[in-house]
Amino acid sequence: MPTHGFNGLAAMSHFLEQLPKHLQEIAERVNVLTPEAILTTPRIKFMDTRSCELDTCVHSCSPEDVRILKDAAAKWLAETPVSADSLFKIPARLKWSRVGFGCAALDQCTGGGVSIRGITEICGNSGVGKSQVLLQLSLSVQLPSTLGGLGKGVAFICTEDAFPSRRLLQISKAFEARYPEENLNFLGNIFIEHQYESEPLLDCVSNRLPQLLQEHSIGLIVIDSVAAIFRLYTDFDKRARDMRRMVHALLSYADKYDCAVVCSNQMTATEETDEARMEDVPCLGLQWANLSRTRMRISKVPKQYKQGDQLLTVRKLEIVYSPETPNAFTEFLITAEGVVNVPKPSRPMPIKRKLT
Amino acid sequence: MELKTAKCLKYAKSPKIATDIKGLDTVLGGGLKQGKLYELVGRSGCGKTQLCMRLCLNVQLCKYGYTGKALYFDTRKDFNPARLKELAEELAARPNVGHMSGLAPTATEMLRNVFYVDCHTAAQLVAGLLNCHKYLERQPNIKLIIVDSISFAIRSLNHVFERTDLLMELHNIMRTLQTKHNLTFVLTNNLAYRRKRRRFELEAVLGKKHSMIINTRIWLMKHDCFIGKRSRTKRFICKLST
Repeated sequence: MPTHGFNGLAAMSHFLEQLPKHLQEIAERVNVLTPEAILTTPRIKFMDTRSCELDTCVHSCSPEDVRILKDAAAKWLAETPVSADSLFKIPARLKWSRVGFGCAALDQCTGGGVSIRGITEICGNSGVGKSQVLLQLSLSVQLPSTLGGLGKGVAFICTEDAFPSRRLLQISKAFEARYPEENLNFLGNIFIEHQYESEPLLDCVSNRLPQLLQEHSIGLIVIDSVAAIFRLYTDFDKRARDMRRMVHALLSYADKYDCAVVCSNQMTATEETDEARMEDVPCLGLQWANLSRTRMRISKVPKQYKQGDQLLTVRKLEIVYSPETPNAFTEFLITAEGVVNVPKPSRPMPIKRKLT
Repeated sequence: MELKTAKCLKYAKSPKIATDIKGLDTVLGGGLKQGKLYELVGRSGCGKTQLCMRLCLNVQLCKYGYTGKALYFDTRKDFNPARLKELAEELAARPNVGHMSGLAPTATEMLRNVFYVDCHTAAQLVAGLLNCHKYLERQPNIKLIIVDSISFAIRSLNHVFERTDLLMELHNIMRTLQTKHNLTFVLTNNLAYRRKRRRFELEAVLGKKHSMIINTRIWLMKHDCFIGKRSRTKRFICKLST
């Protein structure tokens, strides 16, 4: 499904114009006009003359012609390979930048935060704090890059409950107190959308999201949560196809506009056949696991921390798989100020005794 | 085309790319051979991309003076240059790494010999592979091509017949490159549940035709490593340590 804008149409006609006449006719006869479509259409479709009328003068199309056509399309589209060494220099290096969480323990554990490449999935049982972490991410992405953010806005798609705007206001006040010199209007850069069903969600992702990305500078796309929509399907084939469509659309935007994509997922219980134990696994099965690049899991730890007169349960973030960081885990707390480190307990200094 | 005797083929010493998994290397006869198509299959997070990055570095340090460069086609954006640099530094710090090929490359040199192509769509992957013969003219020393992952690129098309046609065209292109330039190809694939009579079994994606064309399929499960074309016919090779 081509999503070319005005520039794409101009480029497409430019590509066809520079080909010799008989190749242009071959492409137009089969109605395959863009270089992408030429490369993904099988050879046989160009040479198939069954659909033509007998009385029209049909130019025969030889395999050599198809080969030349495809080679021309490949030359038009292809990128030259760059050495891995040059990926550390500035224009390419920005493709591997990260969005910090605003909390030192989480940033250290995930190697700097959420990566811009690919989809990051945060899974966990209900009530462990996934939405809190997502809210904190939406604020920290607006900080400038010296402080770990990207200096861009957020597109937040809510599929479960109403967006927790009061909680966002509370955390944003804590952020303003921490970074007063930045003077950012945190709440003004977050664009929220509520979608509760799959077809409207896919429509929003394919049509309205690219318009938003063109008009405002967005650094983070959040979908909270992906499981609520796709768990309602009964036809698994359609579910797989819709998931893939949505993910490919999101990845193309992430690539074009350099923004991170984070989705949150729920957990479901399953019985391991060889161990006969009930274990929690993330929802949506292997189809979704194959599409996400990094998976992090948030869970509650049976430890509690006393702050003032409240007892807060300690949470744990664990990296299940990621291409660049080892499987580390870290602990954090959720307080009125958002997501913070667990403070170290202060001990009295040991008294040094002289050995006589 | 000349006819060769089996005895002459047996004693021909061809260079192999080590995979650093001991049991696997023993079974493969030293490592990945030239001119063959290998496929790595496994769940997400089992280490396919890490093994691919490791192979990119190992191709530069083979025995018998066979040093080659690697070309990496990335469709899933799994590649991370920082991680490749870590692996290269760890490899360069080992004491006996240079004696096999007679060179002692540094981490930066090893990184310079790995070429990276970022493919956003299936069409760009086809374009990249079609242009390979041009890259090979400029860099005739490329011996290993990695496509990570081919299933992600093919599955971005919506209809099954489009996918099969495109996959066969890709195989055609890869086969010409294999025979003409004697390159080793490594593909990465995913697992999915397929219904077999009444139960569901884990099988590699992309179908039976594809599994007939590849030479060897290496399964990387959680702690074990297997070789075989289908889930039922796969043979246990060794335990994976990490």
